Amino acid sequence: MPEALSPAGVVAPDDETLVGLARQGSRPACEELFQRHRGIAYRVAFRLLGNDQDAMDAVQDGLLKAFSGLDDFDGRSGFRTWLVRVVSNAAIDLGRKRSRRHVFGIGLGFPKGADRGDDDARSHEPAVEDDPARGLHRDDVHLALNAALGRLGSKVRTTFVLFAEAGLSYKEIAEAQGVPIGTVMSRMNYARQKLQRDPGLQGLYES
Amino acid sequence: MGKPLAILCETLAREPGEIDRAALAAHLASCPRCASLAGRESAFTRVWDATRPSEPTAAAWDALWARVSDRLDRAPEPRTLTSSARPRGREHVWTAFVVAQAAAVLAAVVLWGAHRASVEKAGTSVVARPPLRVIDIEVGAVVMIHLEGGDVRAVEMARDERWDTIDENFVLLNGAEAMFGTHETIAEMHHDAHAAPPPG
Repeated sequence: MPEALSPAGVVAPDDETLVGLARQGSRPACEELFQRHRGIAYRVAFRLLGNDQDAMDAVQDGLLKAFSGLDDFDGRSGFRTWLVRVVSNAAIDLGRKRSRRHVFGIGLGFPKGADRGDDDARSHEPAVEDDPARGLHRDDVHLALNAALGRLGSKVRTTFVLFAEAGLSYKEIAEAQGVPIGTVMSRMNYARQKLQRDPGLQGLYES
Repeated sequence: MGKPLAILCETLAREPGEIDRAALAAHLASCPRCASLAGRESAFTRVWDATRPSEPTAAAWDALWARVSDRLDRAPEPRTLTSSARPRGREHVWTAFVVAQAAAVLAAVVLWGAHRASVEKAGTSVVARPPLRVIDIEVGAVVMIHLEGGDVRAVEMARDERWDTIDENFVLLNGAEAMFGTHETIAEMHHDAHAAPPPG
């Protein structure tokens, strides 16, 4: 991984260097790695668990496992990819302990038919810009997608999230999940079919 | 019949940076089925991107890192069970099946030794031991609680995921045949993708 150039012109150490320092006990090196990769770790955990509280817990668990077990990192993949694997496993473990929870936005996102009559509050929320949302509010889209993801099995959901959110290749996903690449292809095909045909999302796809 | 989809799948399976976009675009322009698949994929991608979660606040990140750093500073805590004195005499091996009902269930497993019966018989009072372990059981789970040699294990017997009990490739092959017709299966796509002649 090439070294990154900070705005001040100072060459920042690459991940490999930071991992080496972290193995020697450097806490600043651990923190730098955390700063660099916390975002992707959180997004993956969020997609898997469906809410921010559980996602942060999974990130915390994953970081602890990663920094406590740096000797398990063999360097074949980048640190980012390895951390995503660790965090996704932590999210799966957390998901087994806790039921995957549906998220309802505070003040918004009341289920259809709920007698709230608070349309004014919702109307002030910006609509999702793209056509597929067709003026639906972000919370509605998020709820629908979250529910659709929840209807996938845990392994299929993980496969899909590792590809769609973390950007892992099929080969990396196969290695992360310990399955043949053909199984990854099968799961991705299944996930795409299910998500693209999910009744809760159909209105978002019409153009 | 399987070749166009195999091309798309093989393309998607390649390492990042190796996709021949020109070739893919040319194929999509000439293949209505793949173009339709790509269109659906594109529509879903827009929904996916629109629902990307917001970043936690800086304060939330700082608090999280403080917790992680604190835990890393402390010596690792040994994972021990809440234990009572081992019962005298032979230990029973308990195996119990528990099905969680309405709310989340915390199952307290108490180890009773073989000598309890004899103690009761002798008329002495039996001191209730503290729980050996508290197990968190998810709603709807079927769990086997196995107690042996003082160690408690909870094994989940069934989950609400068909992928754990049914061969997933079998399910998908049947599903693919139903969706694409009898001439096109994932197996054929795999064969095409690897340039191997189709079976039969």
